[in-house]
Amino acid sequence: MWLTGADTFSGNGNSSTDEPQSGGWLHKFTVGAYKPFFDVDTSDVVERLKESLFPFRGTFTEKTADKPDLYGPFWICTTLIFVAASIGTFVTYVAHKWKKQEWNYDINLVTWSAGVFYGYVTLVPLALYVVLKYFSAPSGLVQLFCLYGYSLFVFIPALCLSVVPVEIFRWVIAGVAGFMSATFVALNLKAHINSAGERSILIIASIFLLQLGLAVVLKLYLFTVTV
Amino acid sequence: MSHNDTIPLYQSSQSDIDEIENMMNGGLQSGPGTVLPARPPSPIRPSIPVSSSPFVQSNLPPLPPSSSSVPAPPSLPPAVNFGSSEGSKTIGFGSPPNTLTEPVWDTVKRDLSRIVSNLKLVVFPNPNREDPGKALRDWDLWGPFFFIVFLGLTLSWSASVKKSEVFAVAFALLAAGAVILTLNVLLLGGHIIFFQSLSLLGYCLFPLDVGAVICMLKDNVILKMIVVTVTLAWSSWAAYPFMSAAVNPRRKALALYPVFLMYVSVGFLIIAID
Repeated sequence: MWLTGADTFSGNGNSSTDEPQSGGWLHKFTVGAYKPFFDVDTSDVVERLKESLFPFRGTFTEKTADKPDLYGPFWICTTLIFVAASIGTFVTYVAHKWKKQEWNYDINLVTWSAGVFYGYVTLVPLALYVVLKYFSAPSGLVQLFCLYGYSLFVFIPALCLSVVPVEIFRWVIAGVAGFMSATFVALNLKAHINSAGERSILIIASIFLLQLGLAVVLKLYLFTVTV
Repeated sequence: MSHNDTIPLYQSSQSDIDEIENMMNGGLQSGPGTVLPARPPSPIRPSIPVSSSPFVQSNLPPLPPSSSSVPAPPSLPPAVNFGSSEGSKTIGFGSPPNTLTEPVWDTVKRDLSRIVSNLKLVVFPNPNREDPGKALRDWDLWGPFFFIVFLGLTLSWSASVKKSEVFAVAFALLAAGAVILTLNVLLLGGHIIFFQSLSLLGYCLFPLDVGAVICMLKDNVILKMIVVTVTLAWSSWAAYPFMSAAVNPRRKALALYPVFLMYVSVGFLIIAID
């Protein structure tokens, strides 16, 4: 029967055509549908990472407007999960060893940090997309994912530096990283949503606070050692 | 159409030839599922020629010159061959393994030897490593499955609390990690076969398995770190040629970094479990 069914092969396969509607909703489940979002070279990704470390430039969205990528957000989140779990484990291990107490590896750190990071990068841009659409200043969803994903990059060096067991230092690091990350997101969105009128200040302020909140939650959960 | 130099065939092969002939002549009435009774050979029956010409001019498909060794796979009783589709495969091709009736040890031994040969190709230095197409042409998924489960079990044994959670996390991390790494290469525009890549990433876990066993037996932190570092480097070295050849050279680092990340996280899990 596959001899007569050759013309039904057109829609749902791994389509290399450029038609956006080929195959309908099933097309979303093929690898080919997401290839355009991974069309970056190593040099592009490195440049975007460097860009995210300078929050006051505000040029990130312009640079990624035509080729937003999902590679950066996904692998930055995954790296963050690993770094958070390992640093958190290491910190509690050292603290317990100093106090000469029993220590057991807490596997829940991995699953918890996975939930936090993936959830944050998925849900907050989605909510922001909906809100922006409501206020008629729409932004592309993939651009938002890209922005939020790269904004988390600054937490990687921050977590590495938090190994130092001085409490004040840890709070300072968390604060600085949270501030940088939040400013990055806010400034890059500001130029875009100024057209939304007086509500734009409210939106920008809330996403700024949300990002700061993430930094605080990280600091509290990972580095609070109850010994 | 008969040939001069022919040898008489065994009853079982003869009936199979009859069956093929019937299928070709008579259309669908005697498909592979039907059972044909054995018939005695008649004079015009085509037989396997022993002559030097390799091409058989009959309505049978051409047989290779080594077909003189056809007379019956000795391990098969004639009763099994009647009309069964796997019986018709035995015509003219030596004696291929009939995987339903061979001893279990033969099947296991064949799979084990394939795992060992794949392992030697992937993990140990050999001249074929630079050519990724040749490296794992005969890929299978038993080897990777065994290595992943063994690593999960070893980590679970080493853990003193929450053993089942450790196994679950390790298994999920490795299995999902292999799938995600393969998808990553595909999305970056690379050219690999999905299951071949899964197979390769599974085989590259072998050094980490060895490292995990050593860490389970000896509980010294410094030793663990050294062992894990060495086996991690070995695993990454094993996976490198395959992954880097699969993508555009400008994206090589993008494809290799996640592999490195996964092995480092597994190595960390091995050190941390005590």
